[in-house]
Amino acid sequence: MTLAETHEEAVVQVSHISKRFPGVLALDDVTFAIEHGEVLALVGENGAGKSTLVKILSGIYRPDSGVVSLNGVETHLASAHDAQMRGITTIFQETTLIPDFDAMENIFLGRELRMKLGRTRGPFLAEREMRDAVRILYRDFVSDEADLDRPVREIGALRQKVVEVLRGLAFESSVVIMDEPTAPLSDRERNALFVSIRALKARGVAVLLVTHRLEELLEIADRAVVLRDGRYIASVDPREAGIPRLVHLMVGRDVDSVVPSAAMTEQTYPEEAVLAVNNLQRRGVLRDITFNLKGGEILGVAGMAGSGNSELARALVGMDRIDSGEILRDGRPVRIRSPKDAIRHGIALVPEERKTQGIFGGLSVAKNISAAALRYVTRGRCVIDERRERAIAEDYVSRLHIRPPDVTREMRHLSGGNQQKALIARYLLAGSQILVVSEPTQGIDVGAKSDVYGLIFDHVNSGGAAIVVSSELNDLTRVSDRILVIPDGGVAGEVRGGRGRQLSHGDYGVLEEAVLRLAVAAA
Amino acid sequence: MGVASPGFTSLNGWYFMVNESVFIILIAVGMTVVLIVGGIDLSVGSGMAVAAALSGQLLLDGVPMALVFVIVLLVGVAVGLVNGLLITYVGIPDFIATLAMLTALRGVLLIWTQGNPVLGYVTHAYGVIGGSTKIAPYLTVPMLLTLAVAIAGSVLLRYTVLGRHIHAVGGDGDAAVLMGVRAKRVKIACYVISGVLAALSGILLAGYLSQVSPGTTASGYELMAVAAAVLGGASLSGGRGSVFGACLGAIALTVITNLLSWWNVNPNWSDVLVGVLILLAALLQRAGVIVATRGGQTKRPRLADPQPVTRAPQSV
Ligand SMILES: Nc1ncnc2c1ncn2[C@@H]1O[C@H](COP(=O)(O)OP(=O)(O)OP(=O)(O)O)[C@@H](O)[C@H]1O
Ligand SMILES: [Mg+2]
Repeated sequence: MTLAETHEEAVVQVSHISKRFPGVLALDDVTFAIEHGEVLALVGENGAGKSTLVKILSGIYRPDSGVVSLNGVETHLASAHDAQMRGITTIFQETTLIPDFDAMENIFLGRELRMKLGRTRGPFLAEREMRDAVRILYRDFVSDEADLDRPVREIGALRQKVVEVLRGLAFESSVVIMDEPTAPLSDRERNALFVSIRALKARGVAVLLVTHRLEELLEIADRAVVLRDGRYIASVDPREAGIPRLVHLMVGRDVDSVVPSAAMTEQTYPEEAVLAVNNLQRRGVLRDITFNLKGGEILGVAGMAGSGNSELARALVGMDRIDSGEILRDGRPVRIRSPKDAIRHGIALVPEERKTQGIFGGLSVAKNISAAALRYVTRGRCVIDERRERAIAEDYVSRLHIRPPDVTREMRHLSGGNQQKALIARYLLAGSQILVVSEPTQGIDVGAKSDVYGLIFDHVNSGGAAIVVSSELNDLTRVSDRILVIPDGGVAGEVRGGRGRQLSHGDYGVLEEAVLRLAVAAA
Repeated sequence: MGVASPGFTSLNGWYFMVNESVFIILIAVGMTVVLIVGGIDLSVGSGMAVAAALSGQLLLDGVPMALVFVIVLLVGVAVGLVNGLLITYVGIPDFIATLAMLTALRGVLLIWTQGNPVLGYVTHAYGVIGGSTKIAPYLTVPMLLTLAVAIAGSVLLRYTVLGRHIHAVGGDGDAAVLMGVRAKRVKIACYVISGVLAALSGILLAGYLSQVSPGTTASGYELMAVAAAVLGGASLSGGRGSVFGACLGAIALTVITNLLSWWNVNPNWSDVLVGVLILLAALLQRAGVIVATRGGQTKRPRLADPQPVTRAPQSV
C-alpha cells in the first residue's frame, strides 16, 4: 500500500456493529470510518465500549451484527493473526507481552525476520537484524539501552508500554490501533510517541487512538469519535469543539472540575507530622529524600514518570530496600522492611501496576473489593458474611460509578478503567491511616477522576493522610496541599498546592509552571 | 554398601547405561518441547510400546524394513496430531487428553496382540539399528540418532521461528495469541514432535529388546521423561526447558536406576527415588538453582544505519 494509490474508500469502515456480552450491550449499532492518513481519537467514559471495538477491529471478538470493511472490501477478521496480516497492528489496553522475553523478542513476536536461505527465507531467526532494528527504534524512546537485553517482566510498567508501542511502530501497517497507550507513559515517551504518530500519518498510515487524557486530542488528533454506553454519539474536530464540549458529549452532562467541591474549604493541620522521612537513600534511585506529612494532608509528588517517584512509593512501603535514612511515624522511628511492616505501621500503597498486581479476574467485583479487608466482612473471624461484603462493595460501586453497577459480576468482564476503580476501592477500604497512592487516575475517565479524588479527600478528612504520586501535573496542583518535586531521584523543591484554596484557572497554570521550573532546574 | 559398582569404574558400564538411556532421552526431548509450550504428554510410553509392537509385527508380516519405519513414524504423527487437536480444538486439558491416550493406546495394543509378546522379528540389521550390536567400540546407531535429535531439538528451540513461538505460547498463551501467534498450530506441532519421537524411540527399542511385551514394554516411561525434563530445568508451568538438560536428566535417571539394581535394591525403591528426585528438582527450580534459560542472546551488535521502519515480513 503506497500513498500514490487513490483512496476513495476508507481504510476501515465500521458499519452497524453491535456486540452483546451477558447482561451488557457493549456496542449498539456503531458506524464510522477511519480515513487514510488520519489520526482518529476514540473517546468515551469507562465502559463506553472502546476496547470492545478495538478488539473487534483486531480480530479478537466477532461482532454480533454489522460488518467491517477494509479499503471498501467487506472483511471477516478471523483472528489476531489474520488482522495483523491484513495490516492492522494493535497495542492493547492491558499489557500484552511475554514476560520472559526481552524487548526484541516481544517486538518481533509473530512477525520475526528470518535468515536468508538461498533466495528465500528459511525457518531460522535473523537475530542480529532484529536486534539492530530494535536498537534504532529504541533510540527515540529510552536513553538506557541496558533494558534491551532484560526480560520485560523486570523493566516496569512504563518501559513495558514502550516495548508495546514499538511493536506497533516497527512494521509497515495500514492502520495502527492504540488503546490507551499513553496511560503509563511520561511526557518524554509520550512526546516521542506523538512524533512517531505524525510520521505514520505522513506516510498515509491511519491511527486509531484511545485515550482519557483529552488534552492529547488537541495535540494530535484530526478527529474524535465519541462513544457513550456503546452508542456512537458524534464525530468532532477536537480543536474546534474544545475539551468541555468533548466532555459533555462523552458524559452527557457538564463536568467542570476534577476536584470535588467538598475540598474547597480552608484546612488547618496539626503541627505534629504523622510521617517524617529523613535522608532516605536508595543507591542509584533515590537521593537524600526528606519530607514530612501531617494528618489530614495530601502531599503530591511530581516528577517525570520513571524518575524515582514510583520508586519512592515502593521504598516507603518496604517493597524496595532502602540503603540509609530514617522514617518516623508519629515522631517515633520505625523500621519498614516489607509491605507487612508498612501495614502494621498504618502505611499502605495503592500500587501503580494495578492490572498486574492483584486482579482476581474470576472473582466477583465484591470479592475483589473486600480482598484486602476481610476483617470487615467476616463473622466470628472466619465465616465471610456475603451480605455485608456485597453491601460494602455496593457503596463503593455507587460512589465510584463503577459500571455496570453489579457487584456480582466477574472482575475480568469489567472494562479496564472500571477494574482500576474497583482496585482503588479495595485499597481505600483496607484503610491504613497513611495512603500512598501511585498514579490514581491512570486509565480513568474525566468524570470518574473526581470520584477517585473524592474518596481520597474523604480519607484525609476523616483523619488520614495521603501521598499522591502522579505524572498528571494538572490534577496534582488541584488536589495537593503541597507538591514535592522529585525530578530525578532527589528533592528539587516544594510548591504549595491548590487544595483548600480558591484559585483561578490561571493560578493553577502558575503553580504548574513553578513545578516544571523546579524540575527543569534540577535536571 | 561395600560392593564396588562396575558401572562407574569401567567404560563398559558407562556404555551400557548410555545405551539404555537413549530411549528415555528421545522421549524426554519431545517432552521438553511439550513442557515448554505449557503442556504435558503422558501418552509417550504407550506410544513407544505401540510403535515397538507394530514394527515387530509388520516385519514378521514381511513388510520391507524401510517401509515399516515410515509407517510407524506416521502412526506417531497421527497420535501427536490427535493429542494436539483434542487439546486445542476440542479444548480438553493437556493432562486429561494425553492420559486418555496413554490408557487407550495400551488397551488397543493388548486387544490387538491378545496380550501375547511380539517376537522373532529381529534380524542382524535391526539389531544394529536398535543398538544391541555396536557399529564401533562403544558406539551404536541409537546413540548417533539420539545425538542428532538432541542437537536438532536444541536448534529448533533456540534458533527457529517455531522455537520462539513455542516459548511464547508457554510463557503467556493469551498474550501470544493477541500478538498474532497461531498458538493452536504451535501447540499441535509440539505434540506431533513428541509423538514422532515416541515412535522413533519405540522402533529402536524393539530392535534393542528383540521382543515386545504389550503389557509392560515402555510402561511408565512417560513419567521418566517428565522427570528427566524437569531435572534438566523444564518448568511444568511452561515457557522454560532445555533439551540438553533433559538429556543429562535422562542419563542421571538411568544411572541411578542401574546403580540401585547393582546394589540389589528392590526395584520398587527406584520408583520412590525417581519421585523424590522430581520433587527435589522442582524445589531447586523454585530456588532458582536449575532454571533453564533460553540462552543464545547475541552480544551487543554494532549499530546499524538509521532505518526507521522494518518491512513486515510476508505472510507465512
Ligand atoms: N469479555 C467481556 N465479558 C463481559 N462483558 C464485557 C467483556 N468485555 C467488556 N465487557 C463489558 O462491555 C462494556 C464495554 O467495555 P469496554 O472494555 O469496551 O470499555 P472501554 O470503553 O474500553 O472502557 P475503559 O475506558 O474503562 O477501558 C463494559 O460494560 C464491560 O463491562
Ligand atoms: Mg478499554
